[in-house]
Amino acid sequence: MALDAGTVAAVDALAERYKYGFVTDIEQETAPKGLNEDIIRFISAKKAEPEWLLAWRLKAYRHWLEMRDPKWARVKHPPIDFQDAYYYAAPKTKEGPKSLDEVDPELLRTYEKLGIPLHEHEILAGVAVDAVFDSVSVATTFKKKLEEVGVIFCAISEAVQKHPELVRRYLGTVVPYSDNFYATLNSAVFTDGSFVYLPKGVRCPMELSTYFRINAAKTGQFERTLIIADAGAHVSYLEGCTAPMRDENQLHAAVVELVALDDAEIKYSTVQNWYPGDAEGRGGIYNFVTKRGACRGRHSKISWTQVETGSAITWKYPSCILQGEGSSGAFYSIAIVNNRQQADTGTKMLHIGRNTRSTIVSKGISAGRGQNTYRGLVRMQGGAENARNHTRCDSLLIGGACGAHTVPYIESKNPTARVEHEATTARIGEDQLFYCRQRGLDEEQAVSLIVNGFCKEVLQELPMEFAVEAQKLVALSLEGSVG
Amino acid sequence: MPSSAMRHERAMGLDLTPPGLSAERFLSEGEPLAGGPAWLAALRQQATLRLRVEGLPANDDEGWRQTPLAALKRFPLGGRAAAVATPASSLLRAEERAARLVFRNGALQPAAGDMAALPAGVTLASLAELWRAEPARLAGRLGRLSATEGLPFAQLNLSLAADGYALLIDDGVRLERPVEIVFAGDGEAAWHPRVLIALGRDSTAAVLECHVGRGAYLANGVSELLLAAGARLGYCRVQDEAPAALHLHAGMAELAGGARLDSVVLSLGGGLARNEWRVRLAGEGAEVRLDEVFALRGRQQGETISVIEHLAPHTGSAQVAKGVLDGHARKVFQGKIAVASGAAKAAGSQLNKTLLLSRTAEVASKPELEINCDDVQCSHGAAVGALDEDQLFYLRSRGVPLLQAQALLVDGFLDQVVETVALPTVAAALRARIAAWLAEREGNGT
Repeated sequence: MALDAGTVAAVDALAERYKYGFVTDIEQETAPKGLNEDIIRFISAKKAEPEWLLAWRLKAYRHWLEMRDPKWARVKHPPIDFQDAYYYAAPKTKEGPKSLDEVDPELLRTYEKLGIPLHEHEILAGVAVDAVFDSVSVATTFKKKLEEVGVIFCAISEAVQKHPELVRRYLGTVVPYSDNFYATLNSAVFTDGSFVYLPKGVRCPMELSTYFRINAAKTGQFERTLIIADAGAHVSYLEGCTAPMRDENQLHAAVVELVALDDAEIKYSTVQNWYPGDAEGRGGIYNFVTKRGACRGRHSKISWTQVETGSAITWKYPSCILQGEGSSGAFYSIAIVNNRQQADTGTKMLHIGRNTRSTIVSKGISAGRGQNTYRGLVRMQGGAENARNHTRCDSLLIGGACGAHTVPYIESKNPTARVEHEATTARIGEDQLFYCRQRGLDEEQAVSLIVNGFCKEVLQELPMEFAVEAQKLVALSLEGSVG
Repeated sequence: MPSSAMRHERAMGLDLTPPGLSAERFLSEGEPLAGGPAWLAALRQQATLRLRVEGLPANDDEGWRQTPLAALKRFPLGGRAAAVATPASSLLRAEERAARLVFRNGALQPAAGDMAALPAGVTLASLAELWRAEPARLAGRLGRLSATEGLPFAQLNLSLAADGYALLIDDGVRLERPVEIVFAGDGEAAWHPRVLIALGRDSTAAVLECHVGRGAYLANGVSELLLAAGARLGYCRVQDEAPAALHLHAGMAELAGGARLDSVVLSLGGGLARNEWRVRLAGEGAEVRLDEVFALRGRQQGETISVIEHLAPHTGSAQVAKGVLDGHARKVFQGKIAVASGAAKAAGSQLNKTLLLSRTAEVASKPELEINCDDVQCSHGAAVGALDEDQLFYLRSRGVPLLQAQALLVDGFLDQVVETVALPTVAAALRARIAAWLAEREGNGT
């Protein structure tokens, strides 16, 4: 997708730095501050959860108490006080809304400001949206139409009530409760998130989408998403995130689990635009997320596409466990850091089954005083006969004070498996800039054009609606980094 | 995500830091120190103290995640075995070398050496002799690089080193033929050989080190390479230790402006062999080439851990590590290129390629870039796979037996590194040793 004059103009029109930084004044219901077993019981009771889920949460919490937060990532932050945050915040409503008409108009206006008019989406766009506001799903559109073909798309708390057998069967099977520090914390305190189930052979008739919004101050957001594509099913899922501008850091520790059975395909796209903090590095979201997909069936397919422009710190490794014979995984990523943002992101491809395939394309862009790290693991297990991986990581540096780091781990235990990794690091070429300037683009436009070209391979992987937004976002995130 | 990778290693039983593997055990079983100047004693004391405080590595340390540390426990560390009089083989003919030194179990064998042909301005001597007789020539050089690096076994070496060699070249002196050094090990013992190579301005030298032996011993070496402006050093190490030996080596180099280091290691020996590199490109225009050829089989584990720091503008680095793994062999490669913020126009490249010849061989590779400067050109690549089926088929269809066909292809693959070695005599020595390794493989019919 080329960047034309219209897009440049559109980018120029977006004069403000972070336009999602407003706060919605809405009545909230919160649990007391801090984290202990009572808070977990409170969350579980609020959601009227079955006994097994509460037991699972408590098991996770007790395990978490024994864990240390990970230190290996190339990110720096002061220690997080886990007692100084609210673990449950929900917009006050009497009953859950039956349709969009019953949703608090203030909330609908918030989503409109975010560029996600839920009504409009329902009528025009043909994208089913689940909106999550401070850990609670407030609206899901297009439910009826999806139900007709048998697709379940709802808040996970609703799925626990309506489809407990499915949730119980799959929850925690890809990311176990003991997986890592932040995933374990999430298992203990997750409040909501999306649940998708596609029955055998169903091709989802529309894109599914979730918008996450952190609104309340001093809250952590811990959502949990679970997507199951049964044999032969196909789904494309989009995720977007924003948060208000605040001086303190807020923690977002989500878990996403994907399960693809025989011949199923899941395409998961993220445009992550949490508040990145100001130019001096004050405030911003700590985005510590565990995303993992299991290709359990033969010839199943999972692809992750991410555009990471927001957050003060990103710590995220969407991964694929390639178990089924002939299954394939893909990871397409653009990670941009500017000002004092830090990102340590990448993927894991674990090849277990025969003839498994994986592709990794990572584009990292560092500007300002940003620190950007690609960290990835490709492992060929002994049984990964004829497995293939190709990895390409490119880094672009803009300005002398930023950093770009590449840390790939490659492990192979099978001689018939082939792993290839290549990476480059460079800055924008003087000759490229000169060429663009010569044709009348100013420096910022020229950089934006070149950066979009650099990212093209990944942008192409995004669904249409997201690609346009992502392209603008790329330019916007780099604003002020030139000159 | 490494957290789970680490768990996996744990599950494989690799992080069994064995009870009794303490710095204390090494220190207490080491040699009493030979004499020397006060500054050396102070350096040694510092290293001992540091080792006591920081301890030996554990599998939690990123650089040691893949190392079977339990193996260290097997090695008898006390005392020095009696020197035996078996003649050390030589890779170079007498007329091909400038001089030769032979060490057995860490101790110099004066009778086996050959120092007649050294030109003026070149000092090649036992380090122990030098620090007793002319310590001033070592002051500020010996221990300069290793004292600041947190490598525990290099600290152990500094603390316990009894001997080694120094090669000191005066400004402008060119040593045309290579110096050959043989380190031979025999029996159950531990030694900590130390090497200091210091090249004056615009001087040139080449060194071929050969590590051989039999039995189960621990050779824990450190080489410090100091290159003044415009100096050029060719440094070739043939690591051909006994299959049961433990070979640890830390090479530390500092290059001033315009200096150039060409290093190549041929790694064939040792039950566990670990080769660490710390290279500082400190002066403008300094360049390093850090190559390795490895061929491992049986239950050998080979490790290469390197850090190349670009600290000045216009510095260049190139690293190629290529090798083959047979049997249950395992190779660990961790190479890092770090570019500091002031090192504009730095260029770095890194390539790690491994061929797996058996179903049970394993490789773990981690080529790493750490770039803090925008005006750079850096790249790295890694590839793991088996021999190309089509090429094998082509050879076999012309009547070449399988093992011989494999040997041909492996030889071609490895020769891409050997052919970059500047001195033809050294390149020929490497080729001969690789050919012998392949012939042994054919002979074993594995």
